[in-house]
Amino acid sequence: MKSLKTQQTYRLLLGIAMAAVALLWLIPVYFMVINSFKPLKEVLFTTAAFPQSLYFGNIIRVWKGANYFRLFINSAMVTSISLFFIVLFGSMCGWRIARKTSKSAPMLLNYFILPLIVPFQAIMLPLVKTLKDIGLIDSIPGLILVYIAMASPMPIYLYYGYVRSIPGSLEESAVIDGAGVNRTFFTIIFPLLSPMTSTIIILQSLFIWNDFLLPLIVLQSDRFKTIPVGIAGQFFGQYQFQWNLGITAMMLASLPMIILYLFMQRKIVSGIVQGAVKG
Amino acid sequence: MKKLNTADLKIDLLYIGPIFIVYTMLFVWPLIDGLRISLTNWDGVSTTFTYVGFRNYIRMFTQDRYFLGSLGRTFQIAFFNVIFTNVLAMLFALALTTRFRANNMYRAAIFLPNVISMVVSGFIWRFMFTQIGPAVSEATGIKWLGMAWLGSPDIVVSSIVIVSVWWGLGYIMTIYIAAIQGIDSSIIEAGDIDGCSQWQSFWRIKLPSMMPVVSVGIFLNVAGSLKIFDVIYSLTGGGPGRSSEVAMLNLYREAFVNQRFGMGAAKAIVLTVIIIMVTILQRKLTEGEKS
Repeated sequence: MKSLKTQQTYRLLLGIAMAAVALLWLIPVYFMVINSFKPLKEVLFTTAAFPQSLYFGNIIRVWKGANYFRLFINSAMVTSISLFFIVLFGSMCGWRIARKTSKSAPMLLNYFILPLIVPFQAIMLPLVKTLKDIGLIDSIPGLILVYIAMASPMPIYLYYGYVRSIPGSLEESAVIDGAGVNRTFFTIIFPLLSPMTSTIIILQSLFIWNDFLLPLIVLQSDRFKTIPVGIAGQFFGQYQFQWNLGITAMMLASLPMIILYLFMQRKIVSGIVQGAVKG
Repeated sequence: MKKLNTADLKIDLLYIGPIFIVYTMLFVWPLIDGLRISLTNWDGVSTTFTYVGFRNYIRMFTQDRYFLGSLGRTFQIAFFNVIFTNVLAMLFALALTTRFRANNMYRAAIFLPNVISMVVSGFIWRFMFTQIGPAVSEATGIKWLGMAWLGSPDIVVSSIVIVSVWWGLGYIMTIYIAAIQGIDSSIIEAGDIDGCSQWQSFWRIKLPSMMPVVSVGIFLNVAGSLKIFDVIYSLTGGGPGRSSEVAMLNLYREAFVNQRFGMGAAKAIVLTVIIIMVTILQRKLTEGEKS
């Protein structure tokens, strides 16, 4: 009986400790949000205090100055189009290799393994040259193509493993019934892959939306920039000592993903676990 | 028989062809081209360049103390980041798998930084270190909060580790929680009945059955830390002086600021080889413990 009581106190203490840790983790986000609603003077002189009144001037200035809407559209476009092709190509290729009986199947699979071992840094500089040579540097299509090239191999592996766990008899009977390969794939196989598809979408959309280095070296024109690069560039250039605008820019940059996360927390977490354990 | 083969080939071309072409053109080719560029003095802009053999490789190790310094710093940051992140992630995961109210909320809070991009995280912490720290220090009288977190070469590396742990811990913790929940509870109960202490239960039962996941967790963390760039770009820009310059920042500047693409490409290859070697070594070490 006594041990039950000590166990309860132990749990209580643990709960309090973890609550403190969670609060500690939120502190930077808290200070970022409250300072976004203060004018510069308040940010400089009562930095840690709660705003005296809600001030929207920063948000309006950053929204216009950084052309936030443009950046948001660019980020959304790059992320969604890349994802569409990563899922399409990844599933088609993973399925095809998994169902191949010839000796070329393991060879093909090994050919696609490189990005899982070789970090992006290795190809970063020559990639700029390649994109220049084919005329796709400083363009959104160029950026999207690189994401497809870089990010498809992992889905190919994940889909390959998943298809191997589905019996092939379904497809065979569909083919016997006269359905073509394409119809069989898109109406029968692809829906079966949806658990894997949602994992891939979650993992890759976080990566592409937040990626900084690739758009930094590929894009130069302001009108093509994505949120991380556009906000960082703007910040470095103009708002170096205007912390009210700088921190507001950071708030606006992280807001879309934070909102998405609040609504889809469970899905995002399970997607990440799936990806890490299988990958 | 022959007809079947052409039909098969058509399907291959349709299903594997597109990604094969894109991948070959924009990943495999640059990888090969990088080896060639690393042997030249190309500036990244001119149409002409000359081959200089292995001069870039020799120079970065003999005449470039900033590069060697940045490599050492990268290792230092990676080492402390991996230790702190994984030990704390394991402790938090163990705590949050004990049943009490609101532990899902705590998990969500600790994971939150992971959905913020690293470059933005660096800025947020620059604000924390340069503005909030001094302000809170003044208000509360806690002196150390107001120290020169980013202004002193001795402290700046620790500050970078703090930000890295803050950003990356949630991810590692999440997969550790999944691993703990995946352990067959009858094994733990059997241990409890046999009179295992919490300590023994962790070292003898939980950790060994989690080892494959822990190995993946450390791997992701090691590879990520050796490539660290975004956070430092926004947090310190490599400063004060060059005291927080890491390998990736060094080679980025070499290529895009000093316009020495050939040298940058050579450094990138060296860094790649180091990352591959370290991660293979790490996988061998942590997977060896499993058996």
